[in-house]
Amino acid sequence: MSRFKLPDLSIITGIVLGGGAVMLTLFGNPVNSGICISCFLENLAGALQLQDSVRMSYIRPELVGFLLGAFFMAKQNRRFRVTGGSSPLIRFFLGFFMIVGCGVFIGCPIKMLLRLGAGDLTAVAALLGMLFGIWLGGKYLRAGSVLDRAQNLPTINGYILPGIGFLLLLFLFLKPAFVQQGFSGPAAQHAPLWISLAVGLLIGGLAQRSGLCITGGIRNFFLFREKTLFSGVIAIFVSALMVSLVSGQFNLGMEAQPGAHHSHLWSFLAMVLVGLAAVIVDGCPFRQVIKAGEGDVDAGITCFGMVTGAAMVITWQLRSTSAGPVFNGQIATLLGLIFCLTVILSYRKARVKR
Amino acid sequence: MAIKDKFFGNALDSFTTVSLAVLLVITAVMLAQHGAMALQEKGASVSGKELADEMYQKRLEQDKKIYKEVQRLFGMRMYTAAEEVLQKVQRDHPDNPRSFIYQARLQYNTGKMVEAISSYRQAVDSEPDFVDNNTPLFLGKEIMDHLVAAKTTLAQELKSRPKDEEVRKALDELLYLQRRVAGGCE
Repeated sequence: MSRFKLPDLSIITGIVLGGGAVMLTLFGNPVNSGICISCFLENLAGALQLQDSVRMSYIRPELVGFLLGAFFMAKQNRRFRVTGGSSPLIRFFLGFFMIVGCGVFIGCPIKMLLRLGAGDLTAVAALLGMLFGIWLGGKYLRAGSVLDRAQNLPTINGYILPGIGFLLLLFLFLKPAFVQQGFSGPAAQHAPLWISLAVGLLIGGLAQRSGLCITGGIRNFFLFREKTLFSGVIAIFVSALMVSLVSGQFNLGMEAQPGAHHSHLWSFLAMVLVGLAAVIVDGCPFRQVIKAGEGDVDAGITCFGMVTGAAMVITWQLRSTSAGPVFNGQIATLLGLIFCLTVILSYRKARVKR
Repeated sequence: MAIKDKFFGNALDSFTTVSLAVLLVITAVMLAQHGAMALQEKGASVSGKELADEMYQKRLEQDKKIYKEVQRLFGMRMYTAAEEVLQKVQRDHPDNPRSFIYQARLQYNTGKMVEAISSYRQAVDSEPDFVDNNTPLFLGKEIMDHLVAAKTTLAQELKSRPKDEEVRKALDELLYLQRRVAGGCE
């Protein structure tokens, strides 16, 4: 009798992530964005009053769950390795611009897959943009453009981000006065705290074990035809599609799509930026959160850049609305692309000199 | 190094460890006190849910009073008279976004689709809660029904007048409104 073989962990993670995200929308999260790192970070920035849109202010328990789930899993499996010191400022701004790109598209790479899984064809331009950005980033990697090597750091460095996660968890329960929460808009659309937290912890733990990353999976496939993480990415899409179909949330087309716009060129460019920045920084926004939980201080710096970006995306209007991209967002996208290419160019030169 | 040596190896280490412990206890006590107070106030500091509900209730009652006559005339299909009363209300209450909803309804019912869409957009832009089904102000279903009906008319008009910028713009606004009513992140 042949032995029953479990699918690869990245596939399981993908299934839980895609299916769990759509389930969260059934429990109350905003439609098509059951899980979206950029939206969640915008909400977090609002909750901490780093931006002033009350309608976008809520400490998303899923986000805390991702961070702490990864932390617990890494500790449990002795994979909590504290490293850092690689190009911190560059990583900060790459994190910043990744969220700008997400803001202009209206969603991170996970949300892009969720939107596609729900039949939103406006996300196709974004998918093409991200594929192009990752492909281009892969070319640069092959040509030798890599950020500095990280080194081992004293353990306390690795505890700071999970510590912030615990603090945010405390804020969720204690509700101090300086934490604000919107009573209407996306902030009011959320699944019950315990469900969100449990799903976040589960996904965080699984993602730490499997190393699932949207951009990383596609990058590995482009570079080495390596399919492990890529299967996880496909699993996110397929499971989101299945749950959307079963739950009646599937709506194929370009019209009446929630949290979308029809400026396909800007969706494309915004996700080129996200894909490219993610390749340089080694991981999509979701992966950065997971890595920050497992002791990667560089990813922690990128997370700080992402939170700052999330706040500025709202305050400076560096984003899109359902009406399309705001001018500031278009300029910020272009600046982000310029920044990425400049970093790539300068690191290529640095390597050639060495 | 043994834990005891790490924390109490010499006088300075002992002082640091004791200070840390005292600070942790003080912080924990203060947080617990704050938490207890927040619980007593039912978390009013964070969500303001009850306040918000009260505010919505007041607004609904106020709107009911303000638009009573417009609603009556609208119900009797006396659209011209309703429009006249609405104009007066708009002068008296320029900050009340519900007037755009009534304006849109009147325009829709008198066949002015392009204007109706523009009014709905004004309404939604000035009061996003009209398309937020978590609030009592939600009117998304009505708006969507009107949009779906208007879309057929506008599509036909665009076929007969493909270069008509006004109709094209109205169709763009209609698609935008459909996305807003569909919800999602803003």
